[in-house]
Amino acid sequence: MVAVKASRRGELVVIDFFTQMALEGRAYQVRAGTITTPLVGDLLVTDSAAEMCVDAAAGVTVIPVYLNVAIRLGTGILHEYAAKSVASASTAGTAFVPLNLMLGGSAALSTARVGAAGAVSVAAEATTTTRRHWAYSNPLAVAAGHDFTTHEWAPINPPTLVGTACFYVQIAASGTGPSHYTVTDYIELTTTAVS
Amino acid sequence: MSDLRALVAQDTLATYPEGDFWPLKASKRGELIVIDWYKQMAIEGRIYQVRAGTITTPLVGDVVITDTAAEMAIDALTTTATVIPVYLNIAVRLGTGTLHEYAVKSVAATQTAVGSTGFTPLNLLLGGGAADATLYQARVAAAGGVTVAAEVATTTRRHWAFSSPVAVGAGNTVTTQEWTPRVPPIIAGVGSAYVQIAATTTGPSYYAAADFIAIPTVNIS
Repeated sequence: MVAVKASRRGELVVIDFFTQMALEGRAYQVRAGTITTPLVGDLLVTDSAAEMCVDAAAGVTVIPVYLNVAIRLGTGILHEYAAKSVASASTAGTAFVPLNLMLGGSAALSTARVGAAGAVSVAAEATTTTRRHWAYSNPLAVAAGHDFTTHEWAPINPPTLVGTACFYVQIAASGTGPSHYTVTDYIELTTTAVS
Repeated sequence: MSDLRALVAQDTLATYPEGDFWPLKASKRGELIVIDWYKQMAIEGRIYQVRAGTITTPLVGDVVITDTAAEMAIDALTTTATVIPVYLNIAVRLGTGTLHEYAVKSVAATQTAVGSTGFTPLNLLLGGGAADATLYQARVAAAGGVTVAAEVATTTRRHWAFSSPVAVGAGNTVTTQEWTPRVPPIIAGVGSAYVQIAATTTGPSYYAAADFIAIPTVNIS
């Protein structure tokens, strides 16, 4: 037991949940693209094809809290970017070992995949089961005057994905896939700590 | 039934001393008054700033984003020091280049001191103590003049990025970028957080400010 901290003025000092999770080493990251080598997204957004995902097996819960999509080249049209989740694990794609946002922190229990051109296979989207958390659409190619080439999602009500579950990101356009750098940050908990 | 009592002390600011128990503060309506951790860190003088550019003299970023080359870096030099980046502002004054790439990253290695200019972090509490130079260091330089560890997808954290393939022109309104992390990176030393600002053909002219918490590692783990 510890005494709670107060300021010299008597205010109770509180720390928000997200920051405390980071300080405890429970926040992880999945990333795509390096320096001048972005990944190229899909040609047309395609059901069950994603660019990035985080899988929580049974007993693990993940809470996505931040997404950053930075478009380096966007000559295609009909841009469709989205973050979704579903109660099934992904089935294919190159594995990515999640990075702990606390340097020196422990490895994740959750797993992840990253791939170009929709190479991450996820469950088919159904309006009755798949959650749609964020989306960006634009019918036009990026050109002078098209200023939204970087996108962020920081949910006020983050999805709580009790495993088995998958959070995934789709980045696609028609004609030419968008070249992108993408980051997803998420909190990982054991499900017994959630419910 | 629980009974939580706090002192109604709305009209006069208390000045309680360190290291003793005192009543928590309540409003005249009985609400408990709280302060979030970030504001308390600032009031305690634990938040510092690294900045680039002055008045009408911005810095000019790199021509093509380049591995190991950064415009700004903050180091936790020993295992006893932790850096927590909490805010970044990049204001682009001139952006005639194309393929703009701005990013915040971190890695478990310190920057290389050679070839870059040291910057003494500014305490956001005016009159607050200086960051311990044996534990923390910062550098600022134009054109990728701060040398950092090579980026590797399996070890380097990528916290925020802005990309744009086109030059700034009429109708391109987003020329100022901000990052306030939802889950802040915890740079438990030895480690470095760094900022890259670059474009093709002509480097972006920019003003930048990065705020970070400096806290002993023993206080977080």
